Amino acid sequence: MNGPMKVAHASRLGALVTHRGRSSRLGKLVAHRTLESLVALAALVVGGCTIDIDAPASLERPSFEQFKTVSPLLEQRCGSLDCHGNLARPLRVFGVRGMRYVNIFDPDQALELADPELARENGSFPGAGGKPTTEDEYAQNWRSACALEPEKMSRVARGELDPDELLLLRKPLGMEGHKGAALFVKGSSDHVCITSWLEGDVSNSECELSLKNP
Amino acid sequence: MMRSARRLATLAHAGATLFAALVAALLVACDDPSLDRLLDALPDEAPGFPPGEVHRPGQPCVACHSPYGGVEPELSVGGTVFAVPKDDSEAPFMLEGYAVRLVDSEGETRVLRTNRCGNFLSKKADWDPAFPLRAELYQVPRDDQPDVLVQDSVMASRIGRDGSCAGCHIHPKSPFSPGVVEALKVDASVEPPNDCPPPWLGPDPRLPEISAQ
Ligand code: HEC
Ligand code: HEC
Repeated sequence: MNGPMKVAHASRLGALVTHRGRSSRLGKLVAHRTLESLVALAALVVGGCTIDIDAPASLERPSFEQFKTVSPLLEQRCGSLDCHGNLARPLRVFGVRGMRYVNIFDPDQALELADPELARENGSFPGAGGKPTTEDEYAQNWRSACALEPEKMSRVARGELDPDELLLLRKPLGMEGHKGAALFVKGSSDHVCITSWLEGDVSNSECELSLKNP
Repeated sequence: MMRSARRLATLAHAGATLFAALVAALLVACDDPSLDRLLDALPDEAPGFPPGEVHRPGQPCVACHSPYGGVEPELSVGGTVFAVPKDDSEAPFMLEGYAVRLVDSEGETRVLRTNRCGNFLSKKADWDPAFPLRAELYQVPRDDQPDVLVQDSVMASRIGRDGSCAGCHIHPKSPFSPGVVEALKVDASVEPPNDCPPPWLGPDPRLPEISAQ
């Protein structure tokens, strides 16, 4: 809004105030404004942050193909059943070392949850004898990683934001409260494995090396 | 006047409700829903077996024996070793004469032997390991030579932060569980122990309840 318009607006309010007969309209106006700002405030509180209406409607995500090189690290370091290998926790991680993904919309698979015999036949359990991490599980893990902070992830994928700003790294780096504590340091093979993927050029050697860490 | 006062009262009421909800949310913020569900799934103490070294075989010891569970003594690790009969109609049973070797992330090692009901434990006062842990299972073939260990199997993944084996190892094998901690090398002559509480063998509270139709 520019200056003159603001002035015009103020003088109209002034006019309202000076004209006795219109004082009730002022009251209504004030009440209306109060309600409006209350609603806005409530929306702010609920939303927690403002929305950038100029942001493009599509989200960019780092490569799924490259993610498959990173997934074993997430499965090993994050996905144990007492950590993120649990449906009740955010950043769900699936795979051969922890929780197995069952597509409950596929009638054949859903039965594995009710019939341990079938789960065993299909190798749908962790550990020796279980099927290797499946394509579906890679996809789930990729979605988990990307969906943690979709907008931020999109900016990272566009090269507009430092990967270390992501919760996905802030938590294991110990820069943010984390029930699972600090798990690796900047520059370690675990850290480089993940950032190299986020920067679009996944490092096979660092990811492989990271699996040798305990 | 009347109407605006009433509206104000409604607003104040809504505000108070919101505030109460917020306070409640803050108060329960430390609850762990997965752990609560696990604790809720455990049966009562078996009659005839007072709380002690052989009670609650197969159950997640540390879930109770922790500040969260509120039971003393605090345990750092605890669990039960089982034999799983090849014949599915027979239930897994507890094994005496096995040892669990744990290595923490600073290289500290402990060997914990199973008692007559298959249980083993470490009190937190004796050992407060640095997670993650590596777990290995050994057979102790001779009572009179408790230091002679024969390797049975090794857990490939690590224990992230749960000292209860049964936090993860719940019968049966499923998409959410590797099954009980199972000794692979068991002499065919070994029988289920006498005079032990029955083991907890699920159902796994992580599995969704699906009723057969
Ligand atoms: C965080 C969950 C978790 C906890 C806690 C856990 N385990 Fe495991 N365990 C697994 C998973 C998953 C497997 C199967 C994959 C593997 O071997 O890593 C496994 C496998 C094993 C195996 C190998 C079994 C085989 O058939 O080769 C042994 C032995 C074992 N665990 C012992 C233990 C003992 C003893 C404890 C308690 C001190 C324990 N585990 C606690 C998740 C856990
Ligand atoms: C459902 C909760 C729960 C679980 C699970 C549980 N315990 Fe306990 N345990 C207790 C309670 C309660 C006591 C009694 C504590 C007291 O007397 O103050 C107790 C007592 C004990 C004691 C005796 C302590 C003493 O100094 O007298 C030992 C040893 C023990 N438990 C071992 C275990 C082991 C090993 C496991 C796992 C195989 C286990 N407990 C699982 C609740 C539990």
